[in-house]
Amino acid sequence: MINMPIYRAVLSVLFGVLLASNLPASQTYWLSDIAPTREQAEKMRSSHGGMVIRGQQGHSKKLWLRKGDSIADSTYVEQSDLPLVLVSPEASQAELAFSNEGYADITFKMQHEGYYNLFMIDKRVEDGVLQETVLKNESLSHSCRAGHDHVKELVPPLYFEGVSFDIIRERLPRESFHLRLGSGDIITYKVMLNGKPVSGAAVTMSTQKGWAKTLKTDSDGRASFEMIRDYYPPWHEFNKRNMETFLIIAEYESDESGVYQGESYDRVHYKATSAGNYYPSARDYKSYTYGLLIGLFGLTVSIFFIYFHRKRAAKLYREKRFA
Amino acid sequence: MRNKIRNFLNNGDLGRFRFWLQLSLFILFVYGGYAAINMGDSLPTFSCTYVDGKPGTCFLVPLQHRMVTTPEKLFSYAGMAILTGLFYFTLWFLVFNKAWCGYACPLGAIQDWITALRKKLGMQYVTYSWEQFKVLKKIKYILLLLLIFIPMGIGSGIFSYDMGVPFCMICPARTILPIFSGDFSQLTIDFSSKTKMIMTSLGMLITGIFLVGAFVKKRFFCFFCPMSALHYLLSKPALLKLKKDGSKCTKCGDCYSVCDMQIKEIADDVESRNILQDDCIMCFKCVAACPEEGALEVDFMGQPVFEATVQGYIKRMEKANKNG
Repeated sequence: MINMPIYRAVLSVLFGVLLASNLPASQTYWLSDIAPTREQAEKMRSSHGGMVIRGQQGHSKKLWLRKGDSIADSTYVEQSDLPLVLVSPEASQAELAFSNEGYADITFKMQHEGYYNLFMIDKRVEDGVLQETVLKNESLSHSCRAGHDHVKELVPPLYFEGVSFDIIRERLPRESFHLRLGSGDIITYKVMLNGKPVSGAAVTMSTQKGWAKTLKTDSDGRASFEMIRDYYPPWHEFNKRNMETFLIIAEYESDESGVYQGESYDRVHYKATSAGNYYPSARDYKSYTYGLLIGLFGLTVSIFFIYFHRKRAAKLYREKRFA
Repeated sequence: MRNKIRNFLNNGDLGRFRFWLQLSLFILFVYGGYAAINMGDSLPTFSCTYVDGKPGTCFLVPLQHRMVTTPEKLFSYAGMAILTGLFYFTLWFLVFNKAWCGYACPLGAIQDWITALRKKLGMQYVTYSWEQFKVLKKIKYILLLLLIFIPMGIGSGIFSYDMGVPFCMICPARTILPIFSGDFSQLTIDFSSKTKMIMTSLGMLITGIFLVGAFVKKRFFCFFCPMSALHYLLSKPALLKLKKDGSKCTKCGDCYSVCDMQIKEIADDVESRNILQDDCIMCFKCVAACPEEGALEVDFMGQPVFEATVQGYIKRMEKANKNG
C-alpha cells in the first residue's frame, strides 16, 4: 500500500476488487500464465506445458492472479499480499510473494525437470462459514537438452500435504512431457480433501470461449471432461499450436464446525481453482488416408521400377546388322 | 579347454545365432521399456523414440534436437549437452562397433526378415553396379550432414521449427517400428503446415519404397543410413574388429558373394589388416563363408572370438546343402 499510486488506492477503496488481500467467496480467482498486455506477452515463449520466460540457466514461469467467474469476463488483479507456496519437483517448498508491480504477478525459476506446483491458500470466516480457497498452478519444466530417459518417473502428479483441499489432474495413459492436451481428450480431475478423495464435489470446467460444464465427483473423487472442439479456422490459417485456456473450479461444502482466528463457524466451504491449456486435436490435421495413399504410391512406383528394370536387363542383346 | 571353446565358436552356426540374437534384441528395443528398462538416449542403434515401449532412444534424435540452437549457444552450454550425449554414444559404440547394425538394429532385423521372406518365395534379389554403388554410398554422409545442419538452420531461424527432427521424419523406423506396439499414428500426413505436410509425405513415400527395396535388395536402407556413417567415423578405436590376413586369402570371392552390402574390398583388399569398410554391418557372414584357415577373423580387445576355419566352413556348407 505504501508504494501504491494514489489512483489505485482510490480505486481499491471504491471498488475493493483490484486489491486482493483476501479472496471473497463470491468471486473466483485463479493463477494464469497468459500475460495481461501485449508487451508482456511478447516476452513469453511457448514451451512444453505452457508459456515461459526462456533463460540460459533454465526457464522461468510467470503467473498472474486473475479474477472472474469465466475466463472471457475476467480481470487481472493488480495487487495481492497473500503468500504463495511453491513446491518443486523434488518436493522442496519455498514461500513466495506477488511482485505487485502493475499486476499481482509472480515469477519463479524452474531449474529442475518436472512439475512445479504453486499454491495460494486463503482461509477466513465469512457469515459463519469458513471459506477455504486454494489457487493452484501446475507448471511443467522440461528441456529436451536434459534428455528424456528420466521423464517417466517425473510424470505422475505430486501430492502436497500442506493443502487440505486439492484438485489433481490425473495423467493420460500416453502422458509425457511432450503431451499437449487436445480437443477430444478425456481430462480427469481428482478432488482430495485432507488427502482423501471427495465424493459429490462440484467441478466446473469453463473454456476461453465461454463453454462450461459442471459435474459431481464420483466415489473415487473423480470428474472427467471431454475437451471440446472450438477451433474452426480456414485451412490456410490453421495453427496446431493454437493454445486456449480452460479453468477448473472445484467446490465442496461440509458441516464441520469450529473456531478459526477467534471466529466461530458451523460450515466449511472449500473452493479450489486451477487453469490449464489445450490445443487442437491431432485428428484435425493428420490424415491416415493420405498417408496410406502416398505410401501405396511409393510402393507401386517401386514395384514398376523394379519390374521394368529387370525386364530391360533380361532382354537379349540385339545384334546390329549392317546391310 | 580354450581350444574346445574356440572350436565351438568357429564351427558354430552363425546364421542361427544371429537370427535369435536379432530377435531377442528386437524385442528388447521395441518392448524393453514396458519392463522398465532404461538405456538412456544415446544408443547407437534405431531404438526409435516414436515407439511407446522403447527402452532407450536412438542417438540421432537428441543430436538433431540439441542442434536446434543459435551458434552462440552451440559453442557454450548447449554444446556441452551435445558433447555429453556424444560421449555416452561413443561408450556404447566402442564396445560392439558396427555390430550394432548387423545384430542389434531393429530396422536391420526387419530388412533381414523381409529378405528371408523373399528367399522363401524363391524370388531373385538385385545388386547395384559398381558405378551405382559408388554414388549411393555417399548418400548416408550427405544425410548425416543434413541432420546436423538443418537443425542448426532451425536454431538460426533459416528453417521452420516444423522441420523438427528432419531425418526422423523420413526414417522408415519412425513409421514402421511403432506398428509393432500397435501404434499406427505415424502412418499419417500432417497437414498443420506446409513443411510438416512435405516432410510427412516424404516419410510415407520412403516407407513405401523401403518395403519394396528391402524385398529385392538385401539391407536396402543401410546404404543410406546416417547412423552407419556416424559409426564409421568412430569405428577405428572400437574394441570389436574385423581383421583380414591377406597372405592367406586366395581371392575366391566367397566373402563378397555372401556380403549383404556388396563390399568388394572384403575380397579384393589383401593389404589391409583392419578390413572394416564404411558400409559394413559387421554381420560376419564373410568370416563364416571363408574357406581359408585364419584369413578372416573377428577380434574383441585383441582376442580372436570367431575366425575362418576349414572345419567350420565344411560344417556350415554341409548344413546349407542339407537345407537346400
